[in-house]
Amino acid sequence: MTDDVLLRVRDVKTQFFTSRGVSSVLNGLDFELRRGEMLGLIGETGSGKSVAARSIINAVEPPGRIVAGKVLFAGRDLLRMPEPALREIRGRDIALIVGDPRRHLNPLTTVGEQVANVLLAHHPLIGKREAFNRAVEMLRDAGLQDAEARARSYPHQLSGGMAQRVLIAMALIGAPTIVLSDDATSSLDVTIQRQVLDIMKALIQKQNSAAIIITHDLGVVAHYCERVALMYAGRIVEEAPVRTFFANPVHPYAVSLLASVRTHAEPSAGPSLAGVRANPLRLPSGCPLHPSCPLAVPSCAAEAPELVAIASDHFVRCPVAAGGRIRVGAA
Amino acid sequence: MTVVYYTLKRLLMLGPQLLAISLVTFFLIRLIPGNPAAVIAGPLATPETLAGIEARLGLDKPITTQYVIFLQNSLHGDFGTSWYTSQPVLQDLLVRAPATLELITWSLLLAALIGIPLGLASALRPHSFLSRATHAYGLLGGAFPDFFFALLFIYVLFFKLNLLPAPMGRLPANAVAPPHVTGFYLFDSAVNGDWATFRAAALQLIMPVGTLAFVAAGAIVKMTNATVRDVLDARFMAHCRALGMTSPQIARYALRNSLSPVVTVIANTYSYALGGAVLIETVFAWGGMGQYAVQSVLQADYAPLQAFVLFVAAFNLLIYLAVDLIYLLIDPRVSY
Ligand SMILES: Nc1ncnc2c1ncn2[C@@H]1O[C@H](COP(=O)(O)OP(=O)(O)OP(=O)(O)O)[C@@H](O)[C@H]1O
Ligand code: SF4
Ligand SMILES: [Mg+2]
Repeated sequence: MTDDVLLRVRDVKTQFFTSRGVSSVLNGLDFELRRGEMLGLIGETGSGKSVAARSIINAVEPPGRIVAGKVLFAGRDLLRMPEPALREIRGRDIALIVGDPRRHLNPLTTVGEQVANVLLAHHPLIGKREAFNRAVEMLRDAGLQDAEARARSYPHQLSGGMAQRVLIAMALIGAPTIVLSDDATSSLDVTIQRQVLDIMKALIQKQNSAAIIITHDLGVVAHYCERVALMYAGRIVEEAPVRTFFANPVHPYAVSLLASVRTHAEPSAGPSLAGVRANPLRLPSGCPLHPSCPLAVPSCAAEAPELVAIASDHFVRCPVAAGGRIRVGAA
Repeated sequence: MTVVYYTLKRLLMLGPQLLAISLVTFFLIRLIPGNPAAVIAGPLATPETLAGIEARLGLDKPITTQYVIFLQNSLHGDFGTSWYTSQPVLQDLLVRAPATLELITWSLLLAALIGIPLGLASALRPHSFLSRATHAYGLLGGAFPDFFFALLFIYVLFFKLNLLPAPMGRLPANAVAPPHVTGFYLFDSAVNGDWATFRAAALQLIMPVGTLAFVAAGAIVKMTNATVRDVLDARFMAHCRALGMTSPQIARYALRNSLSPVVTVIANTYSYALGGAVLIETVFAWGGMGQYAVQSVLQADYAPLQAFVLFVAAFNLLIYLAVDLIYLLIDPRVSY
């Protein structure tokens, strides 16, 4: 089992030191990523998914700072690695794909060059011409039609969907062991989205690598991921195999969330937790959900709950729900 | 092809633009207090002498007629005669314009050569010693007038250390100007194979060029630093770092994406320096355009002033055309 683990994220804490105070965005992120799997990372806007992705590659930009934790990859802690060694890992071993291609591409460089430059950063001996040829191939693989010609165009000449595929090609050209896909497919139409995810899946199976798929689309998670982790206020509150999670969510927040997206679900009793957001500048004590949680007991406000295993592969951060095995909501 | 078409269009527009500028300046200049005839005639002139001079200068005719005559003469390359130097204005300009252009062109080239790398390096390493030194330099360069540095350089390099020749014009007193080809002494003497004159002219250039470059580089450093920092803050740069791009690659992106504003600053400084280097020209007895213009204002010398304004306007219009063409080269999003 342990040999299968590619990436171990241990108690990572990331804060932003803003003019309005210290914003605690990651408050002890804990999970593992195994070979050959796609892990779905979900959670409401602001729960810290994007910051998690950047923290994993130790690329949090100021005013953010990773203040604690470990990210173990290939026997080394990425959070304690000198910058030159980290640079080699980023983009070659672990590659990030982001959404919003308009802001993530250099407006003054052709997209083919931008893809080629990532390859050249890690394999300078390849040479410009060969790198460009491979970039064209990669763009084609990422679903960009007429890649040969499009590689010579500038970002503003491409549609959003085409530009998104450039970002995907930039991440995949290094054949990374781990792909971090942060909302990378939501701007694509469904067919292309499927196509791109299929490409990633194939790549992962071929190379026995892995991916973290950050998304708001539970359909994508259900369809492509083996496991799913749900975040709230910078921590994972429930982690389980996809089937288990959708069929039998345990954490009150997970239950509310799934109930709220199921249009056919009967309205659950009590107030819904879905849509309740924590302010990272002033997090509630103990379990951050306690001010509005229907199951809250007095100890919830005092003590931050641990992630506990309720099955060998099912973890929940709520002693009340986990301990009593209370079935809540429409599940 | 569209670029060629665009350039031709802009060049054709120069005519009407200069015509409009000449019209405005022609009337504005005549608002300068002082009667040129009185200046020429001197304080003891009789009214008859004054009237005679006015008639000779054409000042007795209606002002619109004067303008038409001016236009006709200008079209034939005759910009009138300076009442002060008694030389045809064109002849004066052909000597003075290259003097100033040679001075400010070298200055701006040197300033860009210093300013851009310093600004880039200090932005890439914001907490380094170099960055702090650069910041201090940016402040220093902007805090004192240019002639202050000129006097400082003269004091140290000429007076104290005697490393450079006396700051008295474009050539030492015993040297002869090279045969006129372009009016740029370095170029003309090099073409002529006259390396002694070349060396002498270069030595005279060092201090004024150094002064102007020292001041101009301050502005270029600041601008480069600020824009490179903005570019580095951009999302796409963060993404480049997240994908492990190397420092040289990042620096190349940063420089290229900062180039447009930097080119703008250089062009602005360049076009300003054409008339604005007057203090430096005065300190170094350079005999340039700035001095010529100031002297013309003081003497109510209409013809050279009019020609100077037109020359500066044409120069600036060409500079801005060049800048727009450079934007086109740098930024694929720009189209005309
Ligand atoms: N540069 C920053 N400065 C200050 N706060 C930041 C910064 N970047 C992120 N945050 C804060 O971190 C928190 C989490 O942001 P993050 O982008 O990770 O959310 P997310 O889960 O990815 O949301 P979404 O689903 O909308 O992408 C937010 O509260 C946000 O305000
Ligand atoms: S720990 Fe308490 S407040 Fe938090 S989710 Fe569980 S019951 Fe609700
Ligand atoms: Mg996000």
